[in-house]
Amino acid sequence: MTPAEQHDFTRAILTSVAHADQERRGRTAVRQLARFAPIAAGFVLIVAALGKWLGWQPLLPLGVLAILAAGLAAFVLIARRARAATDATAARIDADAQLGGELRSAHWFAAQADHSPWPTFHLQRAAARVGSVSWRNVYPPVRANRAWAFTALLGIAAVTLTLKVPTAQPARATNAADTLAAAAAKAGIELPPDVAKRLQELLANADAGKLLPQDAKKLAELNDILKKLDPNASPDLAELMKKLQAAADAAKDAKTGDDLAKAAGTEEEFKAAMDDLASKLGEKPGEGKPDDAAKASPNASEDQFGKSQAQSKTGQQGKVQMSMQLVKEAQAEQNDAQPMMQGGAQGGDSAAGKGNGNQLSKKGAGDLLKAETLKRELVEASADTKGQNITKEDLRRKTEQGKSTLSFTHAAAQTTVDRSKAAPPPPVPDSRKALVQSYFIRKQ
Amino acid sequence: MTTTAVAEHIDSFREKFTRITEEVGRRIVGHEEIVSATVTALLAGGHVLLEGIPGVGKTSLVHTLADVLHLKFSRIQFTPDLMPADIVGTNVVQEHAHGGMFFEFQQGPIFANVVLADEINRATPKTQSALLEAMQDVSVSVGKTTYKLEQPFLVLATQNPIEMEGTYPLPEAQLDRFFFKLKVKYPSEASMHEIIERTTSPMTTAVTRVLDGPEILEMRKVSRAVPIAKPMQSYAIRLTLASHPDSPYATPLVKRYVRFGASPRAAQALVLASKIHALTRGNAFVSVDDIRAVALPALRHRVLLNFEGEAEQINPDTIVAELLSTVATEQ
Repeated sequence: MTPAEQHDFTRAILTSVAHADQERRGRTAVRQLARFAPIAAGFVLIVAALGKWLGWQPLLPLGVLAILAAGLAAFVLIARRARAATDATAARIDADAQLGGELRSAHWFAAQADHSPWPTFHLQRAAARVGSVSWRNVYPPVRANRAWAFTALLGIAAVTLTLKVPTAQPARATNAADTLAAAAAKAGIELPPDVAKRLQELLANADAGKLLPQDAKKLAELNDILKKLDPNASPDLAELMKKLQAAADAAKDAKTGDDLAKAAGTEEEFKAAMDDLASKLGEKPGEGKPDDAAKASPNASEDQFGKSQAQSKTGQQGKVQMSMQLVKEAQAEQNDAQPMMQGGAQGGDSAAGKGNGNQLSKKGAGDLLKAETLKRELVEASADTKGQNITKEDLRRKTEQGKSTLSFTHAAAQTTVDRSKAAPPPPVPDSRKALVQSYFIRKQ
Repeated sequence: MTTTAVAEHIDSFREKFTRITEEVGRRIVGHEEIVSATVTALLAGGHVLLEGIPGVGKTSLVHTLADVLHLKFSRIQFTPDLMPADIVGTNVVQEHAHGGMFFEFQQGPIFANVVLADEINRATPKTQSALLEAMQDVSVSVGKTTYKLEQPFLVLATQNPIEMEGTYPLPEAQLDRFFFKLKVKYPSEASMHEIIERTTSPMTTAVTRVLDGPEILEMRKVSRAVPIAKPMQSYAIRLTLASHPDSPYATPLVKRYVRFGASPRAAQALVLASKIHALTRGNAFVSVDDIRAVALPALRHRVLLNFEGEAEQINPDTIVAELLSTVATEQ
């Protein structure tokens, strides 16, 4: 055999391995693409829906679609690009084509410059055998019609949603009102239907940018109400509050018109509903009724410390001071709110809510003070610092600690080992005797 | 040599190998793998340790093989009182025809092509050691003279795994010199029928001699010419190294139960045997499958268990099987 012929065999082997490797990697890449493409298309659809919901630019979902498509295409191209085939690659291809190790061995010999008869014969036979292999059958095209169809469907839906469907503003207003209602429900308050409706209209106006000056006033009141809710209860609520504040600021600069007169006619009605909502929010169980908390606090204070409320105001404990300050503020707020409750249009409902709130808030303020006091006692007890419960430092204990020394007052007598009293080693169990013996008498 | 000649060598080797195994199979029922492995060891220039309970045909196999191969055969029955001189031979005093005395070397039974060392573990270590030089260097030294043994030289030793009273286990150095350790299993029910029919009827099965010494030596040359790619050689080496507890390739079983792993002779045996195995399949290359096919008989007697392994009665075959399933075929 001439060197040229051998070169042909060598090239045939290397080319076959490189071609098969490219097919294999391409197939793997397409299989992965078929798995991830529907997910990517679904993601684009979600982005398009969110964009429609939140009023994003249509370019954003289309840009995401383009980036993902380009990324997946680049992934396939990179996976299919030509690479130097290693022995591991040849071994995998050999196993896939069921060549019994011939291709792997031949691939290694093809990379060597060995022209002796045996390797040459080996390469010759391997080249002939590899040449008869149909790589199309070994690595058939990936059939993922369902995945491709689903991807196309999702992609078309995303594009259609982005370009054809108008932005859904009313839905957002409803959502805002629902957010408020949800937050209120979380705080233990049920919004009256008419208030919810008015809120929804107000929020829709705010979103549409059609706010009037009187709407700004209403929004400011609504914002005050919302501040009474715990902002941490719902991140959506906090976001809503910020937006309302911005909308209210913007409405201050709005022009007056005919709508102003119409809105003025219903302002008193809406204010009454807002006041009712405010009274309900003020009676939240978590915050407690301020006046009842004020009533409960002096008793709790005296029970715990044996001091008057005046003394506690000037006391050394900051946390107790804070608690008392909270009570005072709550009391003042109650004094302001009480006439409004009495003169409200929905006084019956308010009264009932107030009664329940009294009991709850009284209990809540007492628990708060007790918890604070117990916590303070616990901290002092563990720290053992000079405070209200310890009049002077425990000098005795510190002194003992400072002067303590280590000494031995007793030492064991020196022992002598009596071997006759030593315990014999445990006997080998009968079940293990044969094994121990077999270790010393080896067997093959 | 041309590629055509290579193809002819491969075909000839395969045909002769098949003829040997078929001819032995005419008298020995079952044990095709044992026959094939024994011929492989013969063609590789190695020796075989046959282990099996009495009556499963170990000695008959060796007898039949010697008949088929047209080789000089001798049998040594190992007993506790057997001496080295009984194996290798001794110098005896002879008298010249014209007067005068002289020493003449009388060859022992080791001077044969196929030596059956029956129940090898019954002889003392001193006598067992008499085989060491013969097995490794194919020569024996008596006094100051070294005598070369005739090629092909094959020692087929048998031992009983059950009866241990009055036996002397083979030392590691002796064990390592065996190319393969083959376990002769109890025959199946169908094989038993065949054995009974052949051995209890008036008809005796005669075998023909299909191969002679020079042909065997020629087959040895052919087997050594088979090329092996570096990745396959690396696999054989990794298998050998993995049998050592301190090796980075060591498996959990090896780390726990093995005192010392296979020697470099094991790697040589793996490669040589895999080349012959490849030729018997008509291949001019060695594959991973060839190495795996011969790993068990080549490694099982070279894996030395520690005390825990002996106490737990761990079978070395289990450890080799774990090596085959754990050690990566690619690096």
